[in-house]
Amino acid sequence: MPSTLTLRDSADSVQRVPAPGLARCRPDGPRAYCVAGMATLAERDDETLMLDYRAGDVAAFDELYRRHKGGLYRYLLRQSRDAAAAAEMFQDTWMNLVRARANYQPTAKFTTYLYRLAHNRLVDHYRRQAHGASVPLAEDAMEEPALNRHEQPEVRYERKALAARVLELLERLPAEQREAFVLQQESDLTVEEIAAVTGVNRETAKSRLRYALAKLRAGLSEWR
Amino acid sequence: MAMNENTRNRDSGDTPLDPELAGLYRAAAREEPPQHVDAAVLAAARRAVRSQPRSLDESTAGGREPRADAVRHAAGAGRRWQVPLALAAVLVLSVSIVTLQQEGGDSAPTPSRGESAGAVELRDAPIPPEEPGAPPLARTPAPERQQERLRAETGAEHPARSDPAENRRSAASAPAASRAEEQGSATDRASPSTRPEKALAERAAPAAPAPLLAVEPPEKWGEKILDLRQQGRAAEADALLAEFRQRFPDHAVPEEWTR
Repeated sequence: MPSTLTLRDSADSVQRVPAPGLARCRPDGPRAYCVAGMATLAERDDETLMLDYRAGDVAAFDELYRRHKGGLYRYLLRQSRDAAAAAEMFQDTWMNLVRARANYQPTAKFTTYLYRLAHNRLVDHYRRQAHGASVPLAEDAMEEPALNRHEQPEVRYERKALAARVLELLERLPAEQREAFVLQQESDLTVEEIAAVTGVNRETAKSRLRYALAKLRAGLSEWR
Repeated sequence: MAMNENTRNRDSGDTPLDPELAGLYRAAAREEPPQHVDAAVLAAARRAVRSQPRSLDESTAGGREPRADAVRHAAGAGRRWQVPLALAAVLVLSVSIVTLQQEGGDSAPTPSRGESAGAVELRDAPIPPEEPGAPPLARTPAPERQQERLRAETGAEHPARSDPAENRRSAASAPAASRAEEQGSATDRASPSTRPEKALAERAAPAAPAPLLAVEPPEKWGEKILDLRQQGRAAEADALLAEFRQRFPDHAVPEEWTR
């Protein structure tokens, strides 16, 4: 929640005033854009934006989409390992959100709600897939990457190479562990919220995240 | 998006965390959804809002489509008039039903009321004193009329009436009719002062039977009189008999009509 708001009572006058909690901005009129007590789109939290969209504010949805589209897409991409499938599930997840907007209640974080929709869509994807390339790897099926550790060792220590290595290692993680790690990284969710998204208890979510981090660290250490 | 202060504040404190891994991942994970997918999602979100009927309470949200505003205004205006129009329709319907019932009640025939009113009038009308030996409320025609009746009764004017029984009945009823007529005439002569009251009483007879029988032959009058007597409505029968005598002064009144 921002501590101050931008008060714009004319084209040249800008003031910053304390933000009295959740606020709304009335974008009517060319100059009186914001009045005291109202926040711009960028300053509103996700829950307020979703409520505004439920009330018919399309601009609020645009802001929500801008904030979360990258993380949600990468989450689906990491889990499906198929760009086409990820794009399809990505679009389906947002459509489900739009359709369910009338019943939206801010009882949890918006990201928990959004990623829960995506997780459910992923489960449907797994069920439809036969044993093919898009099926997530089993827990212990981790193949060594085809890397040449002996050529140009200084390259290996470049951040870009390390980053790429992380992605490679991530793909080799079991789906549940990978999911826990990506949810933490892409959506800023806590262990409790990860548990809510994936439908497990807190300890299970925490264990999966711990194992994911451990395996990634081990893989990086071996590669360095 | 790595763990930040807000996340740590919300977390229970024992969440596994590796800043290096988080940084490396953020450096590598830069994929974005395709642009055509962006366009499709945003368009669908707008379509959903345009097709959604909104309530008047959602007016504080900005960025509304003008057409959606017009739809919302029209829907709101229509809803505002629904209740008053419904109440007006119910009121008009109720008044119409009540009016129709009242008109139907007024036009319904109430013969009992007319008869009872006539009976009251008859009861109030002064009854002429009976003469000894004379049948009650009997009137006798004048001698000239008696002669004409005798001729009519004996069949002089009705050659088709050749039945002996019928002739005997006619002959028997003739003296009785003549006697009744004489008594009626005597009554009329004896009490001229009562004649106006009698006229009043006769005029006070129930209006309902007289208009109905005005075009009927004398026999119908007799049937009505006898019917009233059988029902115990003697006053009405007497009034009707008086009216009969006014309309048919030359017609003989059978004895059974008078008792």
